[in-house]
Amino acid sequence: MMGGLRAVAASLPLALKVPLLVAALTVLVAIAISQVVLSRLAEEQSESLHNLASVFMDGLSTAVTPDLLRQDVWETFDSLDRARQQYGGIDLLFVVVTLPNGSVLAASAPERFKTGSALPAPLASIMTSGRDLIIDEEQHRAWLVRAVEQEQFHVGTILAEIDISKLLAVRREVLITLIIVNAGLTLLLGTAGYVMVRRMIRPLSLIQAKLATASSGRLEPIGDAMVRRAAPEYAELYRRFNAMIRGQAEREALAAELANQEKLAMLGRLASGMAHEVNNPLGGLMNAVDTLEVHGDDADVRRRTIDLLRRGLAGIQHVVRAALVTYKSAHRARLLTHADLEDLPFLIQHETGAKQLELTWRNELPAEVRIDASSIRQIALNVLLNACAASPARGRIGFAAAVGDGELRLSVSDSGPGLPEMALAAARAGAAGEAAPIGQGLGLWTASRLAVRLGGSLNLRAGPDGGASVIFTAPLPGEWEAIRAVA
Amino acid sequence: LLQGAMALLAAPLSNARASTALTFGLTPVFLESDIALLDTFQAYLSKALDRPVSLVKRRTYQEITALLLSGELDAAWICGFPYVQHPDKLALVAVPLYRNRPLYQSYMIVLADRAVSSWQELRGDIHAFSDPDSNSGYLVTTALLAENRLTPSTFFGRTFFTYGHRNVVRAVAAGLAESGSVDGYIWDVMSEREPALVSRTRVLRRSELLGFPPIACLRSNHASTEIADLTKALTATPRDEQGRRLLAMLQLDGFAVEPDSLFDDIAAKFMLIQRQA
Repeated sequence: MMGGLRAVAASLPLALKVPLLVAALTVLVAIAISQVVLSRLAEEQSESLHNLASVFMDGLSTAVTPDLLRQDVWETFDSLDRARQQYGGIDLLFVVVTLPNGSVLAASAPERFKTGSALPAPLASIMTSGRDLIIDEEQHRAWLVRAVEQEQFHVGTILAEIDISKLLAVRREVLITLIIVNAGLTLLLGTAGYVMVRRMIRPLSLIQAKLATASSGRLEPIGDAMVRRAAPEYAELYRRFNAMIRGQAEREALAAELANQEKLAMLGRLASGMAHEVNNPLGGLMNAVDTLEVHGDDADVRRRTIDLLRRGLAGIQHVVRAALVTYKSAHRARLLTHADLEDLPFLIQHETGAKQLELTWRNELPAEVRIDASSIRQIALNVLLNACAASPARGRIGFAAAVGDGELRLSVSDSGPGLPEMALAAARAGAAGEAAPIGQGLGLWTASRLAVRLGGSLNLRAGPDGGASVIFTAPLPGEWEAIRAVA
Repeated sequence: LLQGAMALLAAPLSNARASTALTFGLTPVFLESDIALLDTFQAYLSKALDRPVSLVKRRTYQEITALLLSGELDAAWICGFPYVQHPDKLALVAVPLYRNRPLYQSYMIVLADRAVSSWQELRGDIHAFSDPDSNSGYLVTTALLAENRLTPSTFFGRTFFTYGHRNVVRAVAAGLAESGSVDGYIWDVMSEREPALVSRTRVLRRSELLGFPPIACLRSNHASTEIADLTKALTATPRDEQGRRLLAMLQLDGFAVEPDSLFDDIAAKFMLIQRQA
């Protein structure tokens, strides 16, 4: 129970918690004050009733003493009857005068208390209780008792019953007034507390709102005017928040710059590789042209030479087309096709050729896969280039691409020295959206970033026969999501 | 000559008295504490007698009767009962006329809703009497009981005196007394003036008609001119505007000179209880 309450209390926002606390305290104070007021009022009323009763009984006993001494029924009754009309201060219900033997001499209500009869037992016990004022709040009644004495002789007793409903009604009215006033105060203080707390925590709400926009990539600093207006504690908070945003923006800019540089570096590498790939067959092609010029008449030579020319030009065409696809399709989203990965070997041909690497290529993708072609090509190319760089001369590089269990899986293995810590750090930083570690190639960092962006992941592990393997997996969206992703 | 001398002697005395106030005693035969009535009564008598009048009120019949008998009062409105107790000392000045007769009744009253039909059923009651010297408020009931060989103490459970007919009505109406003996004239007048109070009571028994409470003086003074003037003033009330106002307040029709025999029935009742005692 308490635990549940604590959990509820903990989950309440500050803007509600403080006013509720204020209201609860107000209620406690109100209850305490009400208790004090009511008990003081009750004391006051009791004292006032006691005083009134004393005055009333003084007057009445003076009036009836001679009648009591004579045991004069009529005069006693007349005194009581007049007293009942004269004392407006108390709501007299009846007065009974009894003789020392307890029998009624006269009563203001003679039909209830017949002259000569004995008092009813409850009243008789009140009369002999020895107390001069008995209050029964439940019955709304009070009884006054006065023994009448003359020259030290007990000559009779006066008993008066009083209706104290009015006194109790006053008390009830006071209670109701207290409840209304206190409820009003509680509401007022609670509302004031709510408004004040809302005002006080408004700066926090502002920061909260700013942070909420951060997920959409737009983290904006708090305006100078706001910082100047804010209370000192919050001004400091704002300044720190703004400093944090500036730092973040700087890191973002740096990362973008690094990524750009990496892109340029890769472009340069690709360009030089491409030039090499184009240049290699050029010597042969030039020879072929010379051959055609000299032996062009020989049909057999012409056919073989043209064939050589065609293959050389086709090789150049592949390389150029692959470069074109890579740098063109980055601007336009398009679904991945089986063919999209098929020209990657041409792009790394320079690396594999230079180191005489053995590339095992297994592309088991279907004709079309519902995932962004450009990102996948970039991930694959980055990882492949990384593998080439890591592999020693005549090493082996394996590539596999497949779709299964609703996900796309690419794996690249190499026979390099394994995974250095820096490579792992670069991948982790990319996955966490942090800036790339300084002094490290951006291939794995970029691939990791792209993998996360696609909702997938990049796992780096030691290869089965030494070296390392990098496995990329990404879930494939359903029909509609795919359409939306492409659109 | 002697008579002349007496008259001469009496004349200055009479003149001297004329300048002093006439003292007139009142018992609670009629409605007590009616200040306007007393004022009117005094004003009328002063004017009619052309001399100041001092009204003397006492709580009991006995006190007024004692003052009258001792010569402290010139005249007093007493009850038929004290009058018949002192036949040799008191003489009639005038008797009020109620419903044009110098007669009234004694009523025995009970609570309006009490289911009794005869006075015999009141045995054991707390009974309220008006005054031990009142005819209607004591003697009539006591004589009735005496006729039946009973006394108030043997017949009633308890009795008390209220010293006022109005108080008897109040005592019965409030339930302090279960029955009461009261002046019929007073009860009748009250039933018009205080219907709320009187309607809580009802008349169980009406006595025979008896002589109305008279205005009396010392027999020794009966022949004086001041008593003659007083008789004249009282009997003249219906012919005077202020007198008529007084009569209207008292709900009487006038005052008349009546013979002593008017009170014979009361005297008989007195003798009856005296014999019983």
